[in-house]
Amino acid sequence: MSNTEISQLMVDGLARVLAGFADAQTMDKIEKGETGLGHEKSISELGFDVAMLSEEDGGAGIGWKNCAKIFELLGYYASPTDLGEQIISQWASSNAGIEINGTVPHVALGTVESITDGLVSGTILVPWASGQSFVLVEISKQDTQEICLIDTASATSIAPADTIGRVPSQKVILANCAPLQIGTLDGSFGLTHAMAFLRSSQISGAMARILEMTIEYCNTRTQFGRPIGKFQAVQQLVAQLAGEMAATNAAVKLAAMGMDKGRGPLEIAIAKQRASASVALVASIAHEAHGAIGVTEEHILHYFTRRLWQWREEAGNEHFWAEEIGRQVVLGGGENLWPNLIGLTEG
Amino acid sequence: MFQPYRFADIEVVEDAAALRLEVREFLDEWKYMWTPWERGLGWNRHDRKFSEALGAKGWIGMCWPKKYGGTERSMLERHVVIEELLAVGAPVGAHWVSDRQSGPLILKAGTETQRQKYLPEIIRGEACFCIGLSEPDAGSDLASVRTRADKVDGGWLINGRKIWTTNAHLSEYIIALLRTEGTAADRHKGLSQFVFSMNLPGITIRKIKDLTGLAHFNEVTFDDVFIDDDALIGTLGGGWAQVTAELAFERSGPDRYMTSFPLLEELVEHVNKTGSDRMIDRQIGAEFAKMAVLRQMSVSIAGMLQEGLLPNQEAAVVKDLGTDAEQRLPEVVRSILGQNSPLDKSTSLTEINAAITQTAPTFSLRGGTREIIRGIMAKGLGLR
Repeated sequence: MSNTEISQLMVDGLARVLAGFADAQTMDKIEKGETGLGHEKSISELGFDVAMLSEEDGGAGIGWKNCAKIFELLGYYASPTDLGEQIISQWASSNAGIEINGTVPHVALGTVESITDGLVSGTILVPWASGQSFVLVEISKQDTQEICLIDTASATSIAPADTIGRVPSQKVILANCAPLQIGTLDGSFGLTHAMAFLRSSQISGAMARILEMTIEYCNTRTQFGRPIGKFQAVQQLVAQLAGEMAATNAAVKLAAMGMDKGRGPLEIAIAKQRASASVALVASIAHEAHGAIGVTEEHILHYFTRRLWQWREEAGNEHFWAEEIGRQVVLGGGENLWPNLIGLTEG
Repeated sequence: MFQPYRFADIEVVEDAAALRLEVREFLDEWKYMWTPWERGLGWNRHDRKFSEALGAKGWIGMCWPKKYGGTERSMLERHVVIEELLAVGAPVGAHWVSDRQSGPLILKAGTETQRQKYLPEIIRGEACFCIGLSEPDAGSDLASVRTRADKVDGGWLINGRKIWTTNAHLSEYIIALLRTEGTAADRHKGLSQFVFSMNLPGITIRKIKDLTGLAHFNEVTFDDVFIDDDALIGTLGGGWAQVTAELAFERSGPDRYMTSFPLLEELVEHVNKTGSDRMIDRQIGAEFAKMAVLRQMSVSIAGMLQEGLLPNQEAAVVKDLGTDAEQRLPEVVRSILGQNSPLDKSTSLTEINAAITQTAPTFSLRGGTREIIRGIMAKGLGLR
């Protein structure tokens, strides 16, 4: 079986499980941190967290292109678990030679500084963490992609984080904390980039769901004696939503192709920039089309739009990455602009 | 997962780099001759000598069969060539329409005689085609065409008027959508396509100046113009379906997002020389990202064309997003230059910006207006 066939089977299997936890009531319980819903168990039983590890290490050996399909599917179901983060965690640990004993570490958003040798400091956001846990964090450094494994028991403070994505998260402050392990990621990009790719893919998947819901609503909601989707004003809006979704989806493909070819930083920057930049229009059009019912707590739409608003900020928002991209592009000057653009796919 | 579009992972042409290099070397011989204003006018600009030189290299009709003079290269290789041309603002107007849609239409729907007659001439860069679609009363509402072709002995007699016909005054040939049956009230029934010379008696071409002061489009009047039976292209009465397919060719290329590329290049060069800051980087980075993603989609469409798919919906997406990005770029330039952004010839950046600012309104009109395109998208998405 080819990698693509394997990943298609994985996607189909995951979709069957996720579909069982896709209603608003369940999502509400997940956001409130309720346990015993069974979703974590059902998902972890699939064993997809090791998807990127080689077959000798018990994984499926799939690359980023196929991984993106899993990430997008998670976004399509509003990511009821941290499977995406777990896949990144397993990949990063294995790649950087960090040993995992027991539970898979969480992955932090944000970086830490290492001013005193061997000790790290900084403030990080850890999605899906509660209580004491182990966390992988990127160490902010020029020219090398270091990560470390932290036991949050040694943190200065841990507090539940109040995010609009509302998945259980922690804000962790580390001050001269001694990591349990330190490793270097071998490759062209670090942990923040990997997380930016995950979030881009999730945004892409969530947008597909939002588009689907919006079309469905416009075809069923009747006003002035006909479905609102018959009105050109509404059609023009939904078409724009679809365009932004398509661009986000293509941006993820661009990044995945670069990553699988051993490039990555610029391609990932473009993907996260484009994905985050699409959120404003997609969320506003979806809500506009749904009208007042779409902003009620009981309607499912906000589980997706709140995720979008949260994810667009995480691992670098569109403005952060645009500056990063712009710096490189300007440095190259006019004559390198076109070769730089071509180099994204033919480099 | 819901996925209404077929944008696939793109494939890179094996010898793309060598082909690019060859095109760039060829363009080095030409591009120093073009002013920033000219590069800003984009792909409407007509230069027969340039088209003939390009034809001699085998870069027009390059995907067509060898028996007509083509080189049977892939749609992806063609994409490499045409995006290199657009990137430097080359004057491709003398063959652009022929290469993009007239030739493919003739190849697909034409008779063997028509193919033998027109394709080799297009491939040599000697045949400029214009598109006879819009009429004074049929713009976005193309099905209300009323220019008639009435059956007479041995041929057809044409009467009526076409308008906004780009480069009609410089074209050897036209492919016109004409009413062969019924009236405008019959909509898309009874329409047929014909290919014929622009030099026939009874054809009057009146140039229409646009707001830049230049005249690239025209009004074409047909007054008892006689064409032979073999001018009919495709099926009698099947013109509407053929035009729909032709418009897919018209809308699916990189020309729908790259018109302003030479302006972005000038902007980046300017900022590189004068110094940047975070906010400038941010604006340029966002435009670069947009263009990179549009290119990803454009190459993907070329791949679909290569596989024989008809990427109508995907092309609509790229046209909508692409023309929006093209039109926005002059505003980005103004925002970065601040008060020092005269639209005159004081620098190459301001000169090219003057050209694009004034031509930008047409970007979302030609090939179907933004509103028509979004309507096509909505229909494709199943809004009913």
